[in-house]
Amino acid sequence: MAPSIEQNVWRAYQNREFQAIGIDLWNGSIQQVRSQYQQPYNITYPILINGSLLGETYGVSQDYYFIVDKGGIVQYRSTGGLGQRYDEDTVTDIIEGLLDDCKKADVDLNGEIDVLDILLAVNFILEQTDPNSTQFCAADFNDDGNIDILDLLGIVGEILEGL
Amino acid sequence: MRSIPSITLVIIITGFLLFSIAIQDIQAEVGVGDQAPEFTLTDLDGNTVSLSDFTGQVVFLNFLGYG
Repeated sequence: MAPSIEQNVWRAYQNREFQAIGIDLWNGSIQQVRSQYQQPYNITYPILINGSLLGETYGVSQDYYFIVDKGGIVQYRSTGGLGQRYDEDTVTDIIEGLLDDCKKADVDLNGEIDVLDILLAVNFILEQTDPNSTQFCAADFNDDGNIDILDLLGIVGEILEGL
Repeated sequence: MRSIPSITLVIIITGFLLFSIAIQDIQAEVGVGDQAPEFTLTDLDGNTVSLSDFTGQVVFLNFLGYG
């Protein structure tokens, strides 16, 4: 357990498209996990219990850190020996990179590029809806910092290419 | 006389195959580029939490093993 995760990872990114999850590998009781981890470090992100089998699936039996991207792909697995696996600079760099990342033209973030993405981008242009940061990235097709008619053309192009 | 060496050979090959399978099993772990295995577990407040609840979000998994 790295105590600074609460402050420097969870609280730093919790208002973005981000979730931190703790998983107890030793199958401790609720009371044990509370007194071992949650209370001493004032942890506010969820800690899951009975994670021993899940640890076997992931191939871990002690403190380990993973980062999973928006599409469910592992982008980071901690390295190093016991007590040296938590590398906060690397962890926060990767999280920030992934938060800013997006699939261009998938404006509604459902994994598919279709006419609904155009409709949502039009709403952003007309300022009827405000995009979150990932939606903005996806709608700003040409990466010029604005969502406008040129981006719509780019999104239309993506749809036609997919047909 | 010839049957003894071939039995030995069969035992050696079988042993080697079993050993390879065992090694493969030990090395099977989740790494960068893999689809993160789905899970559903319970948090300290009794809520059910699945990895797939957070599709579209970046997820930091903090495995806790007292070490």
